[in-house]
Amino acid sequence: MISGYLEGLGMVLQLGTLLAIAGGTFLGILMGALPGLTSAMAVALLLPVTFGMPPVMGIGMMLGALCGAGASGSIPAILLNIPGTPSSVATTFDGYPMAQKGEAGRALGLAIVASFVGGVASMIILSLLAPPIADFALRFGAAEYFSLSIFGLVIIASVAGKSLLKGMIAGLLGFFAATVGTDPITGVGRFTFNELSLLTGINLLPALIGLFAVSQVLKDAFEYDPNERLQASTHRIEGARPRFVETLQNWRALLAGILSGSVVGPVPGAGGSIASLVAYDQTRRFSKHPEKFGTGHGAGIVSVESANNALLGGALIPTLALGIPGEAATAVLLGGLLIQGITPGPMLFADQGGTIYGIFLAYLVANVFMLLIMCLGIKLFIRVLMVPRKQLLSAILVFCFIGVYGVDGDVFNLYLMLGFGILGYFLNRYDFGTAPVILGLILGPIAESNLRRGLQTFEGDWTPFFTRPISLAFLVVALGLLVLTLWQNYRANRSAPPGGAT
Amino acid sequence: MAQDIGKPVFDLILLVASATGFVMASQLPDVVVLGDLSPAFFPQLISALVFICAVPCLIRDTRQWLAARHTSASTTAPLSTDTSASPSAPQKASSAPQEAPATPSRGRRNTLQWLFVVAVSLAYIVMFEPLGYVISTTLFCLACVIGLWCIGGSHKGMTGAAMLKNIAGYAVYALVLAMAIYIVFTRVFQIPLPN
Repeated sequence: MISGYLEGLGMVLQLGTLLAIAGGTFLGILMGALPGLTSAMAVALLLPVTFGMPPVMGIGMMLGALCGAGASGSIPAILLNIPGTPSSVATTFDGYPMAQKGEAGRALGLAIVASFVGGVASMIILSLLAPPIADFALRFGAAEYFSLSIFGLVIIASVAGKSLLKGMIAGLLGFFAATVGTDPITGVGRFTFNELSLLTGINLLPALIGLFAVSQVLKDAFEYDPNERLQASTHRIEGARPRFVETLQNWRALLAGILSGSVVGPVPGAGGSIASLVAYDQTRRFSKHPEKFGTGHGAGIVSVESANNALLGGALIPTLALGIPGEAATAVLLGGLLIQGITPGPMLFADQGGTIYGIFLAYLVANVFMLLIMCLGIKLFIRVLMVPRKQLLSAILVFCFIGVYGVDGDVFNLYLMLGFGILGYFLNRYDFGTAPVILGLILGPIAESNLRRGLQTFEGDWTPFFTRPISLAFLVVALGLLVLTLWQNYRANRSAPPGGAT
Repeated sequence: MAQDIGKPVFDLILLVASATGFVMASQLPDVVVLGDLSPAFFPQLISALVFICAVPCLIRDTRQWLAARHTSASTTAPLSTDTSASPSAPQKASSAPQEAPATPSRGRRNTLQWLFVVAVSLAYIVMFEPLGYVISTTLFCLACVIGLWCIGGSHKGMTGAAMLKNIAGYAVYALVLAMAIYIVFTRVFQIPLPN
C-alpha cells in the first residue's frame, strides 16, 4: 500500500498534473459560485479537455472541479442570500445574517476552512474504506455484477426523481439508449439506422454534456429575464482570510458535518442538500445555544460547509470501488473515467494500484488548491456573479459544442448532444431527473453483458443469479427498496389532499 | 405548477416511443447462441417496462392537469384558451391565479427564448463545418446574445445610437470569445478545430 502511495505521489507531483488540478478547481469554483450552474455541469464541461490526459491528471482535474464547486456555493449564499448550488442552501441560514452584521469576511473564512477540513477528512475516510470494499468486490462474477448493476439502477431511480416510476423511466431510457449499437455478444447491429457513428453505440461524451450542461443552459434560456439582475453585494469582505482557529473551535459542528457527509455521501442518489441539512439539524440539536442558529452563528456555517465537501469523498467510495456513483456529479465523473479507458470497480484497485492512490492524493491536492484559490481569488469570484446571463449562456454552449466536436470531429455527435440536451431539459422539467439516465447508460451494458455471459456459462440456467449469496443479497435489497419506496409513495399520495399537487 | 399541458403530453410521447421501440426491437434478427438471450430481449424488456411505468404517470399527470385547469378556469376563465400548445410551450398559465395579466406574455416569451436558443444551436451545428470555426462561432454567439436581448425586450426605449453601441459591444464580445476558445483549444489542449 505504501509503495502504491509513493507511486501515486509520483503521478500527482508533476507540473502538468498540478496545473490541471488547479485549473479544474478554478473552473469548479466559478461554476459553483454561479447560481444555476452545477458541479455536474463543471465536470461535464471538463470531460473533453481531459480526454488526452493521463488518468491521474484528467481525474484530478475533474476532482478539482467537484471540490471547488462544493465549496464556492457558499459565496453567493453568504453575500447575496442566493445558494450557488443546491447543497449550499443551508449556508444561507447563518451565512447571510452574519454578512448582514458586517462580518461577511468572517463567514467566508469559516466556510472556506470548513470546506477544506471536511474535504480532507473525507479523503482520509475514502482512502481507508474504498480498498477493502473493492477487495471484497473482487469475488464478484457475472451473476454478482448483473445484480449489482440492477441494484444501482433501482437505488438511484428510487431516490433521484420525485416519484419512483418517473425515476425508473429515466433509468430505463438510459438503459435503452445503451442498447444502441453493435450487440456485445452476437454482433448484430441494434437501432443503428445505418449511421456509422452509432455502430459503436451512443457516445458517452455527447450524452453526458447534453444531459448535464446543455439541458441546464436551455433551462437558463427559458428562465432568462433581463430585469432580474443580481444586485452587487454591499458587504465588506476585507477580512476574507481563512479562519482556522475559529473553525476548529466549532469542532462539534465540524464533526457533525463530516459524519453526515460521509454517511449520506455513499448512499447513491441521496445528494448534497440532504447531507448539509442533516448536519445543520444535528449541530443545532446538540448545541448549547440552539437559539443562536439562524442569526449568524458560526457553527451553522461550519456544519453545512464541512458536510458539503465531506459528501464528495463519501460519494467517491462506491463510484471508485464498485462503479456505482453516489450522485449526479460523480455519475458524470464515472462517465469520464469510462471515456478515459478506466473501468471503475475492484479491478481498478487490483490492476493499477498506483493510479488509485494517485487519485486519492489528487483529491487531497485539490482541497489544498481550493483553499488557496478561494482565499486569494474571492474578489474575482464575486465579480463573476455579475457577468450578464446571456453572454454566459452562449459561452457555455460554445464550450459544449467545441468540446464534443474536438474529441473526434464528428458532427453527428453534436446533433446527439443537442438531442440529449432537449431530452434532459424535459426530463428535469417533468420531474424525471437526468442522473438515472446516465446510470442506465453506464450500468445498462454491464447488466446486459453480464447477464448474457452468465447465462452462456450456466447454459441457459437462471438459478445461479438467485442462489449465489452476494448476487441474491443485492437483488433482495433492490427489491426491498422498490417495495419500500412504492409503499412510501402510496402513503404520501393517500395523505395528500384530494386533487392536490404531487 | 400543476397546470402544464406538457407533463401529460410528455408521458404520452413516452408511451408512443416505448411502443415503437418494442416493435422495432422485435424486427431485429434472431441470432441465438447456446444459453444466450436474443439481441432483442433487452430492448423489448426495457420498452415494455417503460410502457408499464408510463401508464400510471400519464393517468396521474392528466388528472392533476384537469384538476388544476378546473380550479384556474373558475377563477380566471380567459387564460384556459391557449392550453392546446405543444410540450415546449409550458407554464403558459401556471401561476395564473396570482398574477393573471403578466403571466401569459411572460410564459410566451420564455418559450420563445427556449425555441430561439435551440434553433440557433441547430443552425450552428449545420454551419459549423462549412463556415469554419471562427465565423460560425462568432455568428452563433452574436445571434444568441442579440436574440435574447431582443426577445427579453431590453432594446425597447433605447435610442438608435445606444442600440448600435450595444450591438457593437456584443459583436466584440462574440469575436473575443470565439478567438479565446480557439486559442485555448488548439494551443493549450491541442484539439484541432475546422478553419
